[in-house]
Amino acid sequence: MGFFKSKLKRFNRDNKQKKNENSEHELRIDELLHRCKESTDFVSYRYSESSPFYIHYYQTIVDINILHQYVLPYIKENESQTLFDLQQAIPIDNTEIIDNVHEIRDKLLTGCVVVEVKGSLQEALVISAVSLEKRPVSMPEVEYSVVGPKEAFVESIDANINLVRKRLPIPDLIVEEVKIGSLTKTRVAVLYIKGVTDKENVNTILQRLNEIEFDQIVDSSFINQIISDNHSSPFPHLIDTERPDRVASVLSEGKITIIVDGSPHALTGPTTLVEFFSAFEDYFLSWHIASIFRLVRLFAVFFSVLSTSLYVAVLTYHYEMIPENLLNPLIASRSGIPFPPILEAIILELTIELLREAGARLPTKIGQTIGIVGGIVIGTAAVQAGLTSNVLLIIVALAALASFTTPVYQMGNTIRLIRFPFLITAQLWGLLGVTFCFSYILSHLLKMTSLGRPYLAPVYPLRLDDLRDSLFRLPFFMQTKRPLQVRSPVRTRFQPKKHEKSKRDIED
Amino acid sequence: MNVKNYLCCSLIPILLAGCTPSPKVLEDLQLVQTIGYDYVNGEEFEGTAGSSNIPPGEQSLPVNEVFTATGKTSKRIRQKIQAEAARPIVIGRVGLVIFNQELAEHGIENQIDSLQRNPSIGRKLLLVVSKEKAKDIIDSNYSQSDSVSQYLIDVVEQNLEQTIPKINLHRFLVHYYSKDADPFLPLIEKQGKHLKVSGLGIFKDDKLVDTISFGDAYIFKILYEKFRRGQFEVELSGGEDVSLENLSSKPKIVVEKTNGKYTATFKVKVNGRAMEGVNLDLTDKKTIERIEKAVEKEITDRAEKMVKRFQELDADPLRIGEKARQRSDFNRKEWKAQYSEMEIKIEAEVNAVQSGIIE
Repeated sequence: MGFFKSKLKRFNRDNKQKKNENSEHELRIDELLHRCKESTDFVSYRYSESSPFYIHYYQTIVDINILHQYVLPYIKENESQTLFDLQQAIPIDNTEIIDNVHEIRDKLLTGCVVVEVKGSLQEALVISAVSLEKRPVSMPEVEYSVVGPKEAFVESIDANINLVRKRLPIPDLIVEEVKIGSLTKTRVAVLYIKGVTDKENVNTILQRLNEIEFDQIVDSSFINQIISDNHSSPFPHLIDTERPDRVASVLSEGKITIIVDGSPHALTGPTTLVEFFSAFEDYFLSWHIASIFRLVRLFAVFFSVLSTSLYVAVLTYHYEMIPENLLNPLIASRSGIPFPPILEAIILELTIELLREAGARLPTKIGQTIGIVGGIVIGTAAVQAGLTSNVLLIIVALAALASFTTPVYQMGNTIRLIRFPFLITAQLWGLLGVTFCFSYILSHLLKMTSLGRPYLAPVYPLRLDDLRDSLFRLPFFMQTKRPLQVRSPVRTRFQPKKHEKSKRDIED
Repeated sequence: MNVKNYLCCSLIPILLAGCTPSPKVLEDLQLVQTIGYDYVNGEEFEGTAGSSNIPPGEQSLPVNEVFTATGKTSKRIRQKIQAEAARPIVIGRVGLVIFNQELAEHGIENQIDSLQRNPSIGRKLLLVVSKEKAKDIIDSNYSQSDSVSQYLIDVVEQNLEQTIPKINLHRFLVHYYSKDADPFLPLIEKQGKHLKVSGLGIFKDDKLVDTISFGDAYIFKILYEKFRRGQFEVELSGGEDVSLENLSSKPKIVVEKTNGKYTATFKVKVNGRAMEGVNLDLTDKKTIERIEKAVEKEITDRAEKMVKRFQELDADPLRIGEKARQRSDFNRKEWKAQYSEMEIKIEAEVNAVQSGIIE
């Protein structure tokens, strides 16, 4: 790992040096245009024989309507020969006269029309005419909720920030933008509420973002992996969400959000393990229901991780601890099977993983067939053919079902993965092995951090105040304080009025 | 994590591999569920292992499988049984051990010792004494559809709740190793297609010295531990039969020492519900009082008789000695000398709190 890292660094350094050499050499506009002309979608022409203006742009990223309506007519009418007069005439706010060729190049490549006067090699008028191709805001698909808002982020960073700012109309919502990726030059925005968010957290994120040396940032998950505290951990360090409402709520809690251009998922942090098991829908339901559902989800995680390994451990080593009434059905279902429990479990687990993987990669219409093939054909047939016991089939199916209850997809993947070490240790040392593996993962979680803040936070270190919105969710009037985890300078969210036993009607 | 830590982590499994238990896959084992011991002669005894084979299939019923061998030690018997078994014999699921009455009279020290030393045997193991040969009890068919072993265990377990004092390996060992108490075990016998619990066997050290009837076992339970449920039947002076359902009962033993002489008193409180008094007016307070008196007398008489018998045998299954030991002036030599002669009183207090559903 370290070896590759150093190699990567060296590679990036070489790239930088080349870039510096380039910039040292004074680039001229005609050289730039010459280079651009190698690409066929680059258009460059003189408006008319009499006009002094030359127009250059990439036709694939320029909105041709803007050009036709607001640029070309004014160039035609304009009798003056200077760029300044032209700039005054054109009814577009975002125009600039730039004399730096590198800046001109950058603008050209982000969808601007460049107008220059033949002969003046120093400056050019840059008119913004970006054509924004974006899909409309749609329903959330990964974090679907039955009640509550139904809008999800899209790929455009501006649209995403718009969605967040609509929900937080305050000047304190700060957006800081950086460009990352030596090739993709991806816009990455860091959002936080000034005065509520700990400055140290913001600095940590900005520093880590600025230190990224990578050629392409295609999606926010790249950022998530690159800036994570521990690269060898299978657990995600930041929550990725596609819900603007979740982002707004997390921001007002004092956390930070990273939005990446081209990605419909925003990253939020610092985060804790229990946050991964809270769906945002929990806040839309009454607190009793939400609390129970959270506990059910937590139980589901334990069940999903431990059930098959316990089956293997008990059947291979601990015949003494099987309940009396379960003994006969277990032996009856096991006795015809040619494999030891571990092989049986691994085969079934892998089958489920195959089904899941196949279902995820296939288009929805074929995906339904997968369910039928997997559930009915493989499941029932395997039992009837005597390849697996039906008890294990039930356990594995339930475990798979339980792992789907995790609201954050990334965490669901982690849970899928960590089942396998448990299975193997269960086969090697029985229950002792399961305990061993559990302690190993627990100690890993204990020392893990998210943006330098403890990952197991409200549980360890124990913060009783934070427990109000972690394993269970207490009513809103009790959530008067921001979590200690984010180190917010303003801990109080609101001043609670004295809670009344019953809500009164309007008083005369 | 540095390289050293990685090395350590990968070394642990390799080093631990030496101390791992060997896998015992459930369906490849011959699970012994009942063990029976029978008397052969002074040196040898016969061991019977009751187990069941479960054929594959969803609705399959277990098939009884019995192994028998004779030997001087349990381990030797196990070895002989293993020789004729298709799968390795394991005794981690034994739930019931049956001692033949004849063997019990000769002493069961060997068998108890081997049971209590074995780490794979649980302390909740049930021990019983049988009138018939243990082998005949294990190797026969009962009308129930469960496996034979499970049926035997269920019968004994259910009775330990309702009719006879609770005893298992752990409690037996407490009595057995105590210097001031003697053990007892349930007595079972076969009756047609059923197994039934027919009383208690009283031990002196490791030898069976006496048996008491099923009815007396109930009195024993009242004197021995607090419990609920259970039926008790008495005949009133007028000749009517009345049955009393035990709602709760609690015994208390008081041992006193005056001038070097020990006396013991059982104080028993029984709250009951009068049931099945056909010709009686159970709403009448006087009738209730009559019933209470009659039950008190019945308990006292039978208990006194039973305790007298224990004193004659010099056995102390009711652990009066344990209670006496709690006194600061306890002297074991004096106690042993006086036990069979000392005065033991029974004070029963019966309270009929209910009389069932009546008009």
